[in-house]
Amino acid sequence: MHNSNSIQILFDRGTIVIKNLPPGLEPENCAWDNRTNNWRARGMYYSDVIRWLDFKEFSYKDQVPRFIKLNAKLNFDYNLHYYQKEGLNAWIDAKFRGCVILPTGSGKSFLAIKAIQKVNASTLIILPTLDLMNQWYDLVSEVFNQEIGILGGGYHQIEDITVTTYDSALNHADVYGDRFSLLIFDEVHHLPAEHYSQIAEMCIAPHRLGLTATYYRMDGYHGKLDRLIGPVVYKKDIHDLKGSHLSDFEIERIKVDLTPREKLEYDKNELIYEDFIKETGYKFHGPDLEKFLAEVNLKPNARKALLAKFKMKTIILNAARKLDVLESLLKLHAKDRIIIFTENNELVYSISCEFLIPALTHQTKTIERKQILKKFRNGEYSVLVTSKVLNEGVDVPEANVAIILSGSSSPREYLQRLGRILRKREDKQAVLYEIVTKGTREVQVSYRRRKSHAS
Amino acid sequence: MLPKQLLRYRIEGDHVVPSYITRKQSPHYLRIAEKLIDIYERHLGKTRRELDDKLMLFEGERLNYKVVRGLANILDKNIITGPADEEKDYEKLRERLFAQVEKHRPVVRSRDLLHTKVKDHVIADVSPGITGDDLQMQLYGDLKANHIIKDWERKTSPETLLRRYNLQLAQGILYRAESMTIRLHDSYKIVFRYLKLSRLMHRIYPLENGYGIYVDGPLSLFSRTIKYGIHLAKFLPGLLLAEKWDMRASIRLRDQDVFFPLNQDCGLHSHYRDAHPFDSSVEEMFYKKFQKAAPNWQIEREADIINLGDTVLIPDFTLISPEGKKFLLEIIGFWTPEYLSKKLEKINAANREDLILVVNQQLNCSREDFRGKVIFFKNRIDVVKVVDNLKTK
Repeated sequence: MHNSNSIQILFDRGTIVIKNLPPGLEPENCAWDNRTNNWRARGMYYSDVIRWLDFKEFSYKDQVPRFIKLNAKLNFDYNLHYYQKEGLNAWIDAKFRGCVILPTGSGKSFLAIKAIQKVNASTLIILPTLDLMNQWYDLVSEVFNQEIGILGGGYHQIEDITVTTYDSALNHADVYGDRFSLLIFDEVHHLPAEHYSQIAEMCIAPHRLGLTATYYRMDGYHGKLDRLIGPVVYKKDIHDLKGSHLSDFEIERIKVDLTPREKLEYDKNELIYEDFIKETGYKFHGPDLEKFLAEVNLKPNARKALLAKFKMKTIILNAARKLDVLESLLKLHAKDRIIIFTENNELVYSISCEFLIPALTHQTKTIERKQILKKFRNGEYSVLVTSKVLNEGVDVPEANVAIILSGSSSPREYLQRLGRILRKREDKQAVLYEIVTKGTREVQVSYRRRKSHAS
Repeated sequence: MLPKQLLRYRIEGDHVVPSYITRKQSPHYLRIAEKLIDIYERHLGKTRRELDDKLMLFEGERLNYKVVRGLANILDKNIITGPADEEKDYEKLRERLFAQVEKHRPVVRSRDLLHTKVKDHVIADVSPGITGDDLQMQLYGDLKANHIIKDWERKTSPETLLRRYNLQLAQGILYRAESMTIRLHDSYKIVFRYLKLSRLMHRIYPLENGYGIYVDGPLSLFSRTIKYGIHLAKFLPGLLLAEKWDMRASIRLRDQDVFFPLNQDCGLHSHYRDAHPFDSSVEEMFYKKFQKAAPNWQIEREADIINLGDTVLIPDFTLISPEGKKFLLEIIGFWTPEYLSKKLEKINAANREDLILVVNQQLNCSREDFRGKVIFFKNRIDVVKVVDNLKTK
């Protein structure tokens, strides 16, 4: 029997509280909380606290976990590729804790689904963006024969398998940190960022899986993942897999000119901008950029220069002749399966209306995106235009032509975009077109990205 | 609260000074607020895109564009928007159209030898009722940018807008707070009510003339975190309801540790509901009668805080006898059973010798339920009896 003075452990807003522990003891990984006069540990140390209490042979009342057993039934089964199987087994051998590094497009999500099946208990899947969250939702609800929960993007429905974003998980880990036995972090390289690591700290889940293609961070913080998730248990990079199931692809770069009107507008703004740069000697990056931005609301010419810079960028991104090129490519590839990528939503919707092509952006609601992706996958649709939605992550439908209409200069992003069409489809060579504006900075950006891919 | 990119502040030494709209600037900004409200007003019935374009134009090359955007950010939360045709199923419409178009691919803009049908023909063929003009509004009326500004949810005056701006600026800075140290001299009940609502944790220490309260959250025990910044920001309007107070929040800004000090003279206005001076008429009656019945005693409302760790108990009255003996008095009148059981739990946890309970007999409880000293009453409290009783203790 437990009376009110027996040892109790409770979950309190992302922490574990030990009540009525006899004085004179110092439980591992705990700190004394003089606000509430008891021992307290981060949620992630739940298993350690239990182990310590058992080791000391205390009897205690554990009111912490709210895990649910799944009895997961899969709607369909599939065979894992050898590297997915190896990754999964390595993770199981590491006591269900650790990170698996596989290239984009190699089917990390299928490995994750098998992991859920193995642990067979309530699972939270954490994604960096709402779009990825939607994609995982689509996939997981297709595979598992049960209701899937969504936390984030206006949804707040918790189920035994729930998908969420890093942001929502951070906001709600204090309430649901005791609810899940397995945490799956997709694109786990986001987790060590200052605040996000608290998600892993507040959750009590003993089982943790991190997935990514780009584990190593410039800031070195990936070292934190050891403690938060577990060690790297398996690693294969794109070169290890090339030829085995990922196909090669061609890159075609097409340069367009600005129209005379665009050019005029561009030059006008460039002049304003360059004048400012000459006058101040600033460069538009590094510490100068920060100084520059700080001055924007103090100096009229800095503000004008920044506005000019924005204007230049907009002109380049939306160069009218890119749509002419796009039109000829659509004609050329009338029989192919095409995904068009652009940088901004605005352009997605004008292309959608101009060429009557289904559009996917982060504004597309769950049901419609599910419907569009399904139709693209089963061939009812042959063309798709999208913003950054399909950048990182899973279940991008197969296409053999990709057209990038505008791009930013992040090399990682570029790699991941390429990953979209890397899937082998019969013997057909995939083509990636890049439409850039001639004689502007965009060409340089595109060149930089190619170099980083080659290296 | 204002988002990070719209915050305006200076860092002076070790503390942060928000760039509030000052009294001196307010004539200028009142005009801007008025113009902004007018822009919104004139865009009722127009699209979000048109409104945004207009706002961009209004902002122009202004150096104070952050203030303009901040004010617009607040106004955005005061309007109702939605698709032009609330009944129309845009998703269905697109699905039908795109499915039909598929057999006409590629859709081209101008005719050539191989492609004889242009976009407008395709549309006319597959989807009568839709025209090639302004396709965005017809196909994507459910898109945010194409939403129509329908009405005001709450129409604000320029004055209120400026007040709200200053409050939201302070809250936006608190969003990056790790903890808050408060010195509070009155209004304990209302402040702790909002403290509790915001799910924060506290440490309390007595001061000469009030209490010091240190506020953070569960995880703060292990490492510095701004996780509770949002809770502290939401709590601020609750603190503003007090009359005499000051606070210092520890803030992480631009990778620096700074303080954000505020006090009762900050000029910020709360929009939270204040408590009635008396929670119930029973207490008000008691206060008046006690002053008559025991004129040489001191009586103060809610003047002490009993810290219970997770929560606090703030007795209704503090009574000091002519000899200087202090009693804490809590009146338990009419309550729901749940409230009563919570109250009892608190009182028993407090376990204080100087706590006197004045309990309504009609409540379903007995002397054994209380660890403290109890005086029962029927219908109304006999103040003379209470005073006599206290004199014997």
